[in-house]
Amino acid sequence: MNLKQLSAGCGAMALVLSTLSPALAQVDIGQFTAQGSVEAGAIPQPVPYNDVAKYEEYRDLAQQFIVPQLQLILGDKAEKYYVQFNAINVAQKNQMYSLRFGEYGLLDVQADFFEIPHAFSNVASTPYDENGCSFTLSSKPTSTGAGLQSWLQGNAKPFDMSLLEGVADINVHYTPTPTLTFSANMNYQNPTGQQPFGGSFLFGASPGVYKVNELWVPTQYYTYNFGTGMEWAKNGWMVGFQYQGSFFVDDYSTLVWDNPLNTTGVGSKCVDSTVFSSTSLTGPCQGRAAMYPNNQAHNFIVNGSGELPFNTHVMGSLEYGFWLQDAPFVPLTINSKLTQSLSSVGAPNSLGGDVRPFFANFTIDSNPIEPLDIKATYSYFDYDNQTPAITFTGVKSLNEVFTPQAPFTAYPFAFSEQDVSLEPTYRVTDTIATHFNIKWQTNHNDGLEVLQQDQLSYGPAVDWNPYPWLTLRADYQHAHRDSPGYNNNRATLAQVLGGVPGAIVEVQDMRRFDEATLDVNQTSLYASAQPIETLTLFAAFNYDDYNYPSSDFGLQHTSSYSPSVGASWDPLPGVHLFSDYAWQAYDWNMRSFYGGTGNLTKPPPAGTTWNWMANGRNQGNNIDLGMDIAIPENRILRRPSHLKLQYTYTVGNNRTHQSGATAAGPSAEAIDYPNVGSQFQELMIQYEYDLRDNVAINVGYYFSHYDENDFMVDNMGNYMPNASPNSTFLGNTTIDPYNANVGFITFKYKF
Amino acid sequence: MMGHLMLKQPRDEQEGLACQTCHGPAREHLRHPGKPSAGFVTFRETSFKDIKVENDRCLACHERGERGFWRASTHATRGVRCVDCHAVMCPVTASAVPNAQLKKSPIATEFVNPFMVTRPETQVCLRCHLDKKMQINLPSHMPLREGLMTCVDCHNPHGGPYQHQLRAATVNEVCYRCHAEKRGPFLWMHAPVAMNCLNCHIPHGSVNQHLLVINMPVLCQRCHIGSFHPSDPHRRGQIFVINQQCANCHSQIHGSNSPGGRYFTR
Repeated sequence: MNLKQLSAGCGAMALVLSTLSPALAQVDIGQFTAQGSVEAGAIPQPVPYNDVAKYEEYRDLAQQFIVPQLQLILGDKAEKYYVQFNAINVAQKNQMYSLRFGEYGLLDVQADFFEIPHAFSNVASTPYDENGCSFTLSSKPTSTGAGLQSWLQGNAKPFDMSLLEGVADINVHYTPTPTLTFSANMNYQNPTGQQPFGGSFLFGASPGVYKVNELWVPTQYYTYNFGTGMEWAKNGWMVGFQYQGSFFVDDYSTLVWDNPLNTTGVGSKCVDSTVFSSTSLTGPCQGRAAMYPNNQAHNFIVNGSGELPFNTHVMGSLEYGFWLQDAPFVPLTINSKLTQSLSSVGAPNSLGGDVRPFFANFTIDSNPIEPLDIKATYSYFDYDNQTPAITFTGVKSLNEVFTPQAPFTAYPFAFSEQDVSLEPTYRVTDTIATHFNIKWQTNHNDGLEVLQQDQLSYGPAVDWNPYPWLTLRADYQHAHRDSPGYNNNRATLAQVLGGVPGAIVEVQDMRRFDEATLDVNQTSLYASAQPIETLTLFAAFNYDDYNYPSSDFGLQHTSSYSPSVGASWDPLPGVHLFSDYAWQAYDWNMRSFYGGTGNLTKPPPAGTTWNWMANGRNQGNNIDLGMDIAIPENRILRRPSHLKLQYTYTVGNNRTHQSGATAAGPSAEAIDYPNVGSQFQELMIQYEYDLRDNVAINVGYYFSHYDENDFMVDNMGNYMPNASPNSTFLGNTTIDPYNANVGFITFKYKF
Repeated sequence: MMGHLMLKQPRDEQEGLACQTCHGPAREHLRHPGKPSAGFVTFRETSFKDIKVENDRCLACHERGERGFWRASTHATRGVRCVDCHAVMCPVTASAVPNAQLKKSPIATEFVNPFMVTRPETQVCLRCHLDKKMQINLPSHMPLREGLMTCVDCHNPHGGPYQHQLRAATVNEVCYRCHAEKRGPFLWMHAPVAMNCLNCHIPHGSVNQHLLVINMPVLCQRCHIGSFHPSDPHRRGQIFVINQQCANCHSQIHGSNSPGGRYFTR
């Protein structure tokens, strides 16, 4: 779009708008009235750079004609019926539509459709040709290392790695009487496109020979969520029933890709081998992975609440579900030299996956005497996994080379959680409310390291409104989780899992953070003040501390701090200014040890060369500034106008330090990770000027800057020939920095 | 909505009281405007006792559906008023429809254009939850900033029977509504994944890719030590630290349904 085209478009639009009624008024159509607005215009500049993955993430900012907003409201003069239609970013990749209609107090129907564009990379490339989920190579490298890299660069073709997800919702509420409501809903999601996927060959014992072929998954998911329900409410009592169903369908069940390192030929000329050799370049011709299997879920829900004597209310919910998955298994291997049928290794043709989630909640809220309010809750969740365990016997192809495996079992784990909590609130005065929360939680697990965990948490909270213009809130909570018998279950677990290496060789002093003994301290503070009617100030602070006192190895400690402040000020009528700042830091540290050969089952004493430590911080800073000014007509501006501005600056970083040495010598010294950092700036200025009562021109300016340094991507080129002599990467995570200075112009017509 | 029902189409005696349905008896108020009168609620109260009375006026009709568990919610317990988020008395035109009349946010400018779409459902929450406002601006984030999602897609601000005011019994169930492919059950399940997505992900935004709590491989090494390559610290010449890191090979880390997928590699 050049300046001429833009000028012509704007001129034509201005001409059309000038012929329309100059007055702002709703339109009468018989017994109905209509009002609405249309806004249309253009983004005249082209997208600034080639790699726009981050710039266009979740948005569509290409040079194009735009219809940012379209609104139509219909109603009848008796004010019985209503219709509202809203469209945002019409025909763009991030378009949103909403239609709502019904009869006041009787029927409400809301339908939405929108799309979410998700850009991974605009600069990814691959040597593969893709057809469905089959990835083939038309040529193969003649050597690994630099030879593979050279072949890759010569054969890689660019493609767009992105997803576009369409989402549709329909919600219907029918209320034939004020006490009875019927509801139905449907939700449909369809992500389409390509997303990155690592297709690996693990030749030999772990970790193999580092062979990764980065592919993309041609994605065509369909998710259908359906629900229906009814609710009856009268005189403080309510009871409702719901059914929620969900069906997931994946168009692609498997992914198959050529092995570039078997150079015996391409296509049908390739010859499978049981032996991988990185020098003679033999091995399997192809790799295969199973994609997400189709599944479905059905949940049945009963909710209820009611009034009891002494100003008491009870609330409850019961849910029972079926989560099912029975997609056919893919064969164990695609290597014709290692083929084994599933039945020959004792496996069925599909899983028969069956989880029966159950949830129950019972809550009572009582206000027996004026200053005292008591809330008590009992909750129970059961992940009842009735999926059968499957034992595989005599498998020889796990790492794509002939290696007979000991029998191993896919064991379905299960867990349940029960919570009991009590929270009395006492209003000391009209302006001070104190709370004390105490909660006991117990988990029962099956197939995990810890069979039972118990957690007790408690702490006070205070709310204080000392003046009508001031609100203060503070709370503290301490929790202790006890995980008895962590070690006692290890032998049993190893036996149950049939010798999964992770279970057998797990360090005795290792504690998985989600199961380990835990101490938690949490504090939050909040203040909001309105010292004068036009000024609001607010501030908050959150602190979370998680400590794992029994974990000699594994995650030791995390803590998070997040102070924030903000202000909004309306110094003059029609003038609104605001600003806020937030900072968050998340610190962690862990202790580990290198479990090389000969050092598997017993951790070395602290201080030996096998130990290494790591700690790090994720940090984010964000500042927002903005203003919203309604400018009345004056000597210069003959008609009202509106200026809006918002600026955002966010900087994030991630630091990871490591220290210690492994037994593998100085070259195995633990070193710091390069820092990861990002910076994001965004400035939006929009000025709307009323050309007439019902016609306005909108001019917008948008500035955005983004850059990041990330060792995952930045180091990739250097690492590939050395660290990954047998791998091909697309570079899907490569995000280039950008500076965008763009604008838009639109006309808005209201009727 | 309420104006239409109570002033134009009352369905029962209570709704027929019009303004007094919510505000209570108005006789004294009309006689002495500006002075407190028994039973009359202005919806500007600040004492905790009066806030409860005020919210009860709303609950008289609205204690059902999504608001059925309001009394048990954190917001109710901590003295949040319905009118802190809802602008009940905002101007209603003859053709206005029953949108939730959310209050304008004091900390955001309302934009609707291809560059920025401000959703009131999100902005209302961010007024108090400023740390989340920072998180949704981080490089890896859900599309809240772009207006394609809102806080209420996952949370019910009116409370419910579930923890953290979520819309389902567990964190994972909430996530499965949009990520149903990860629901399984799978042949090879990764226990921390199936138990709680938050073991590895921060839903509101992260400095790390894929909304990860911390970067791989350390993310995985929090648990996976003591067995060969997972226990290797960062050294030069490792494939675990580039691109998709551990997931270069363990690409089906959310669960695999392949008989050969014991290590989540296929």
